[in-house]
Amino acid sequence: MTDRLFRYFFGFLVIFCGVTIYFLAGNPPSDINGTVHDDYSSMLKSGSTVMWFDGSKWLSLLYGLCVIVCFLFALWVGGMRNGKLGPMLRWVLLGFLIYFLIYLSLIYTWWKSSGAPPTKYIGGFPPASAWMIYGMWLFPFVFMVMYICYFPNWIYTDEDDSRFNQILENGG
Amino acid sequence: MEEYRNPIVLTAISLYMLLCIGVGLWALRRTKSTKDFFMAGRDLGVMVTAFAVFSSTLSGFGFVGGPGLVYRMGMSSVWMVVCAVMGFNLSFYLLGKRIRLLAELKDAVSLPDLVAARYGSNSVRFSVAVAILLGVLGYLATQILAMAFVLQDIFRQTEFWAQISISQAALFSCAILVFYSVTGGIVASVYTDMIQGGIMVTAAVLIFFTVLYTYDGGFTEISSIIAQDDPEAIGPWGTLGMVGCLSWLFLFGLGGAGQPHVISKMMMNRRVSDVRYILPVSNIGYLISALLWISIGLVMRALVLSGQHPELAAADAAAPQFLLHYAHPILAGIVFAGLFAAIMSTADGFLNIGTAAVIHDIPQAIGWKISNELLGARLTTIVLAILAAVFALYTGDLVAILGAFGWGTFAAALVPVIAVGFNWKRGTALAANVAVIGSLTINFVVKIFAIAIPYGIDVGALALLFSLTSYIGISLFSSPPTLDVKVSQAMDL
Repeated sequence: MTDRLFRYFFGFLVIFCGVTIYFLAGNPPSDINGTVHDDYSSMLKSGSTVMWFDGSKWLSLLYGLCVIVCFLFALWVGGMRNGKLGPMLRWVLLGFLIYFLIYLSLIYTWWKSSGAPPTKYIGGFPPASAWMIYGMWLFPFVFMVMYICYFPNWIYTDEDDSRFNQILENGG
Repeated sequence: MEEYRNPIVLTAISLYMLLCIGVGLWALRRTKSTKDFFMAGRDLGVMVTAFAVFSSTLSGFGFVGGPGLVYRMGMSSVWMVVCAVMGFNLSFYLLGKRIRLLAELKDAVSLPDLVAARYGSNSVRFSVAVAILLGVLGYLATQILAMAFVLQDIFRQTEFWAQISISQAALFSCAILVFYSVTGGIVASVYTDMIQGGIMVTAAVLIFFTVLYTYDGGFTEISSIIAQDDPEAIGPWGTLGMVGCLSWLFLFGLGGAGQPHVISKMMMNRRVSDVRYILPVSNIGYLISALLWISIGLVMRALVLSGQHPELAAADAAAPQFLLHYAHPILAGIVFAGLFAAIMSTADGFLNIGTAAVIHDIPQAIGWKISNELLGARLTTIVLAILAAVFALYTGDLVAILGAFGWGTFAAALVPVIAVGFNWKRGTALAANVAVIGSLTINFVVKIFAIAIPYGIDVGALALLFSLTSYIGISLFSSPPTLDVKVSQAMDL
């Protein structure tokens, strides 16, 4: 299972590289990363966004998905025992599904409101930024709770500890 | 109270530095061997390890550079913080248990020791040690420089020290750092980290509430002022744009598992099972401390835009200006002490791993045997600190180049080799060497030749993607390596 997972991930990384190469080879507007503010030289102001071109709009969305898949892969590999994620599997998948939906909500909200002054604020921020702060930042605490809960029964059990002491004492 | 602002700040910093010296002297008695010096005898409790992990992660950058970036770019740099909860999780899932098991199994005193044991290769040990040393020199130099600049600014407000030069300020701050790092090694470092972590959390909470009450409408009013000037600046991607921000999410989220000054602390806890509790304490500690980063940057942008504060001479002045004009003098004293805490806690971690690379890892990789490693470690700590200070003061742009991509250098070079390699038996020594050398080359070439990357993609993210792909690809297309039996068994757990 482990090698198969890594083969899939390698295939995915090739796609991720392809998306990145698209951006590297691109010729976006010169102000895509902002310009110096007209009145305050110590600040930047925004310029064109990735929505300047349909291709970059959708590939930007894909770029973010690739990042999330990398996170999923890392957490999956870190939580595996003997090539399996065991009882954590469904929670990891559910957790990442929600994380992914939060990301999509952020993007959708931003697409709808980009460039216009916000009309409402959630928790002190415009809706898209609120998804970022309260969703993308705080939701992963769920994976921390999973780590704490599954630690003694899956991540490092008492049998693992005995086995490790055996390896230390007897050379396996 | 205002007239006492400067004496209060100076007193807070002096007390903090005296505390560091005290901890150094205390730790001296506990440091009897190389293992004590580099690994704290692998006997640290949950709280000490947890605070050491998060306070090493949040360097002086989080207190000065971070707010400065938010002020300059709006919400863009908040992505460096947003990824932190996920980042800590990934680091602990991948390495929390694994690194501690291998450290005990191989009685390792450094990360390159573990790498050599995992890959059975001194060439990988050498390339990892060199990558660490290169990153350490740049990072350490920038930390010393930051400390010197802040100290110079504070001292200049006094009559006695008004003429202090940047070299003298660097010498002064370096002397304290070296004293406790040399006397107590990593023991002094982690115990000062604990105090430093406490100061950082306290400072961040107090600053957050100060910011909240700067405007009657709190963050809604702050956001509204910024949005009236430029709606995108307070949008999720700030002024940098979507792809650049997502490249930071990738680099800072996954890259935490490659920061040697942070993950080496995971080798030092007393019991393997302690990592279950170290993760939440580190994660929550960092979350609270990061409030300072975001809140000061946003409020200073709003204050300048609304004309309530004159424009800043430089973005990095955001935090000092806020403390000077809007924070209570006692709070300013605590935060300045917190700033030194953040810088020193990162710097001492770097000194420790850099010393290990010079005195232990590189000699081992090339077959040299150092007879008295403990004495050598103490001397090397002094030499490295002096070298980094000289480097910081006299090499101009080079230090900025090395320091600016420190995180990316470590992440790209070490995530595949350590975070992936310690969880996957197929990873080969050749793949590890290609990942380290390739990622260093990408980082250096892009920075030295100032190559602009379209869409603001971070060079570290590019290098990390390359190193991950090459490491996994080369390993999959090579024959499986033969692992040390004990290492293989420990990797099954």
